[in-house]
Amino acid sequence: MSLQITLFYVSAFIIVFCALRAMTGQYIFRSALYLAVTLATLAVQYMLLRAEFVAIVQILVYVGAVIVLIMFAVMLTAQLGDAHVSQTNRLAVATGAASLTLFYVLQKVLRANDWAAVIPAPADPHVQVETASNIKAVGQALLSGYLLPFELVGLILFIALVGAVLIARKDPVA
Amino acid sequence: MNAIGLNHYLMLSAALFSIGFYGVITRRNAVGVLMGAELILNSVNLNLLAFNHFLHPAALGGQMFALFTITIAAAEATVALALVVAVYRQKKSVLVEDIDQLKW
Repeated sequence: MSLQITLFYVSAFIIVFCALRAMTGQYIFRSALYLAVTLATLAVQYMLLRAEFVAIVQILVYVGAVIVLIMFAVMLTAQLGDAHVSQTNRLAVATGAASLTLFYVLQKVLRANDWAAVIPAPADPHVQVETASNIKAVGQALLSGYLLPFELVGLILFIALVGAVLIARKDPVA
Repeated sequence: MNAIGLNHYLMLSAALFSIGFYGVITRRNAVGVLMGAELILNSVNLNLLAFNHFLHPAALGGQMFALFTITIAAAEATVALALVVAVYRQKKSVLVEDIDQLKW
């Protein structure tokens, strides 16, 4: 077994196990910690897929920012730590069956297709990777072919930030 | 065991999607529902990167799409958690069944 195969299976196991614990646990704060492990281990998979920049962004944005946000929300809402409040509603069994069925159907459909034939090569790709470094190629692509969406995403982040402050402030504006 | 192929990643992402779906439906906690949504978004990202890597490694489209998804997910988490805090301040509860003002 090569290193790549070992890495894939080990990290896939960690991802699925921690995701299950995050979604079924009783304590929401522990769920957040398990989610952090899942998201950080996903970065290993991104590395294996030769997407180094996305892997770094994954750790910076998800583990560094989103998980911290979730933990703050957990700590600001005191009721969350209560062990006596059930965290799952009464749909748990039915939804468990539904998501198992969903997984079964998904894997059937995903295996059945010959994806190389379904998705043809892009006729005019915006950017081709010329350098060995993925980060350099992504940087060039972001500031050339993808410049407009890049700027728009900055605008969206700004609006979301202002909106979040406005929503969460104590006295609502008249 | 064979080399890791596209199907391995598709299976992993399908599993992640199903787990996230389970979380979104069954969690009573608004923050828990949000965590399930984050899992679903991440499974999509894994799919995009896997297709990019195995089908057209020379193109960058999948990685770009994944980057924008991560950014939008961060914005979405910010607004959603602000909403949770605002609702908690008003109703003293973060359970989704207590947030029913729009239910008539």
